[in-house]
Amino acid sequence: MTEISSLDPEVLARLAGLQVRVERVVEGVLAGIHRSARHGVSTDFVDHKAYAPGDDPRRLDWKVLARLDRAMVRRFRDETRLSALLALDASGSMGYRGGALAKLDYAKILAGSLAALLLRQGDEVGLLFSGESAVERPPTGSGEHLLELCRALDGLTAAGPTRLADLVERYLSRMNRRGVLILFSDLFDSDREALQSLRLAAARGHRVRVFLVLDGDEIDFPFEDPTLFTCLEQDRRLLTHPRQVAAAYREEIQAFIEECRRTLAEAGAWLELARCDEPPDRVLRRALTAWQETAK
Amino acid sequence: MSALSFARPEWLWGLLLAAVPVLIHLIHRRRARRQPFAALDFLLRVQRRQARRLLLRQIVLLLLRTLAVVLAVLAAAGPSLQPPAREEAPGPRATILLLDTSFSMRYAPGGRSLFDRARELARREIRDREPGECLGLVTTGAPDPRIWSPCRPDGESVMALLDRIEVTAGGGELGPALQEAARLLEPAGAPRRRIVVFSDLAAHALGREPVWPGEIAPELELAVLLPADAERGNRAVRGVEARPERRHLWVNARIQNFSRRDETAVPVRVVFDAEGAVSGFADLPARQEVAKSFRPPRPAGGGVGRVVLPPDDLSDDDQEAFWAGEGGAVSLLLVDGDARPAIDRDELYFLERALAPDGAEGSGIGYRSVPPERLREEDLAGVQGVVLANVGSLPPALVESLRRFVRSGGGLLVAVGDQMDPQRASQELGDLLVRPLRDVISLGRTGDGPDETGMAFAAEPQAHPLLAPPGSEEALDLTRVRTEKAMVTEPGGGDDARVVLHFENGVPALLERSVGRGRLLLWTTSVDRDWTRWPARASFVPFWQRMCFYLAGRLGRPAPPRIESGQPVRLAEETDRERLVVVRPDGESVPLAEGQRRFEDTARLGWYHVRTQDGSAPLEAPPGFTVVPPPAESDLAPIEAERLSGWAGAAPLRWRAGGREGRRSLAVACFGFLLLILLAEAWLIRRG
Repeated sequence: MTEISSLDPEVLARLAGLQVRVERVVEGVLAGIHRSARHGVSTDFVDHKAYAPGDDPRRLDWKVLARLDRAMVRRFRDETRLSALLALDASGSMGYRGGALAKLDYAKILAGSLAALLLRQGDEVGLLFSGESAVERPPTGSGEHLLELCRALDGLTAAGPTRLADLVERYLSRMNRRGVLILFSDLFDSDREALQSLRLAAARGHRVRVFLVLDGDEIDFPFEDPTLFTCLEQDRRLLTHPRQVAAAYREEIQAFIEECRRTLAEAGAWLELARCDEPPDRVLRRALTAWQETAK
Repeated sequence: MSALSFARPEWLWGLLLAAVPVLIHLIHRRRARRQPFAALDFLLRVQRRQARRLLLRQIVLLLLRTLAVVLAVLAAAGPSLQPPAREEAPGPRATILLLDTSFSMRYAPGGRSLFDRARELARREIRDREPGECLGLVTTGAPDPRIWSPCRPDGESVMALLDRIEVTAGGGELGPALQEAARLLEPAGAPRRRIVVFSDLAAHALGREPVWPGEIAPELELAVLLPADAERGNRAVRGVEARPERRHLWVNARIQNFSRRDETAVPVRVVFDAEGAVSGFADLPARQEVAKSFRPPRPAGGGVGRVVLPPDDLSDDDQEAFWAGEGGAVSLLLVDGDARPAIDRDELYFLERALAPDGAEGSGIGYRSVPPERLREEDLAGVQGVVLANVGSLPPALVESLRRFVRSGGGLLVAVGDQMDPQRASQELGDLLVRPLRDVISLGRTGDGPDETGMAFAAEPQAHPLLAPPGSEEALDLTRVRTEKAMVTEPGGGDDARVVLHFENGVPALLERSVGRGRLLLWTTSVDRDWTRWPARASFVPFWQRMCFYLAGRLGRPAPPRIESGQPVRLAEETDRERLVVVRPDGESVPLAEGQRRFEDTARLGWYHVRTQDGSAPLEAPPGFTVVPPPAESDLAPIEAERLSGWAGAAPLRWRAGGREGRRSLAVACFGFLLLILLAEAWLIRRG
């Protein structure tokens, strides 16, 4: 028997208000992950580590070397505050709902929860939406900012075509210094410019993190009877017998995911697949763990 | 070119169902569920890539499903290929419809007789006649075919006649009927002449080869009613032999299995119209005849019994009636010529106790005993037999009464004894003695033991109803019976005098002779223990009971006739004057003219009772007779096509729609293709 977690999308869908959902998810994430220090160039000494080729020789602890005759490098808490902009794709295709939550709702939960986690550790978090909602929230680190972010997320609706290239361009125009772009999208960009834009952002030194938000139906394609499929963004339709095309479709969507993952990885960006039928805390924990691994 | 035809053309309306797969496809398209879908681009890419393959698959599936429906309907309609028809000359056509009305046409597989099917096809033939076509109607018959209508352009009257024809219980050959039909076609002068034959074409139905009148034989169109390879199973009772024994009947039924399969444990019953039944089981090997014997108790009421098999598709030959004997007790008059005050010294002491040890109901024998001086002519009324036991003398008037009694069918047994003077008895009784008596002789001693005094009967019994054959249940061991005295007879007595039993030295012990409708018997020793030790032996009782039945005409009578349907029966000699009435199986009484003994109305199967006008059993005729179908008619095995062609001679054969033989059935092929199509469709669907 499948155990239903309190953070399953079905359960979350029953909770009213994004903030409540976010709090739940954050609790779940924190319960499953230990605080880990980020090591950087702050003045707060953390510990030593053995010197290895490639380490900055300036960080050698001469006192230890003299006393113990061992080359040790000092490590400090990073004193730089992270400036992250959470970009949400609010195009029509994000409005697809196969299960309890629409893709955009799921993205909102992920974004809100991530914002809460980042704010808790003192980072600055802003919001950027694509689609017809042109709302923006510049990155700030105040504690009350989360409420405002949640409110902005709550008011977001899925409509219009996907214009991810515009979204990345807006990010680059607003971020003067290197920051983190965290994108929540299905990347269903018909002209495939989104990946190129993300590669560009990564090339300019920004950290690019992408949550590829897809519904279970879009991956598994469980339809059987003859169906008239209609597009959520344009006036297009297709009458087909799903059983006849299901296998080919599944191959196609897997190839798309792999292509996105490979393209972004080549640019030093990172992609996490977020299925809407998966508990969001699990997705976030997986993402945070992966980020820590890449940060080491 | 071969023509496609159908046994059930009305089923072809089902071809409209071929539109169903297309309709279902269209309805599915219309009723397709609308589903918003974000990843439509991917679907469209897949669809574009597979468009041609998917369209082709869709078309193939649709075609397969349509073809499956078409094939299913065609198979149900019974398709077959008719061999190419020969070129027909132009001009009007003359047709004779020939219906086989023989007994085998009663065969009814599936509940509908072949004759009904034949008549329906003949009606269709009349309805489909060409304008101006001349039609005639002939049926088979035994011995001669029957012409119902000559060839004339009046289909309606032929249709009316067709409704009057009934299937018979007799035989009928196609050969003479075809010849008659061909003869009817001659005056028509039509350039196209044909005879349409509606027959089961059983092997027995052909008969002699037809001789075609004229130079050109007509075309024979055969509307065969059953496929050649159809199982034509049938069981039949092929004959029943019934013989009354002392207390039982011996019934032997011959049963034949005409099918190609063995049948085991087939229930066989013997039932009596009056009361009682016995049953048993018989194993019937394929196409073989077996005999099944029963020994039921003699029904008290006598009458008719039947051997009955479970009904099959030709049920009228599954039973046969037989005569179970007269009902009621035999009534005898015993004349005691040596009555004694001491009862065990009385002449009839042992005989009376042997005839009815349990009373008349037990043995079936009733008797009355009188001394000779009290015997009156009236005493002879109502009895079937008289026994004169050691009667020394009788008045001439009584002798004359006895003579009349015997001539009118009664039986008289004269048993001798010490009260009889041979010469005087021969003089007084005259022709009532089978042979004149000559003298009393002693049969002497053959041994010293008490059982060896006197002489035994000859070891080899004669073939006589009184003496059952050795080994049978009714056989009696008479070799240990010792007789000390006997009366020898003079030679003579007519050529019809017959010695039934004799002593070891050749002296006759029992003689018989028929007189008029009655019979005379002479027992040359005593019926008490004066001259023989036999009364003290167990075999005395059954022998004398059997003797009484024989005396009364219940034993040894010829079996009632067994007649094939349609054949006349001769009931007795024409010289007899008794007026008879025949009661048919349907209950109809047919009185015969005075002296008439030939009866011809034997169309119905079953038992025909024969009675006198006053309702009593006839003396000069059998109590009835049974009418059975001709034995060959029970064998439904079809004629081989090659033999049929040779038999028809110059007449070209053609198989008619409605028949199956000669045609190549396509139903199996249709089902085969249907199976392949269903498999292909399943494979396509699984392949996706």
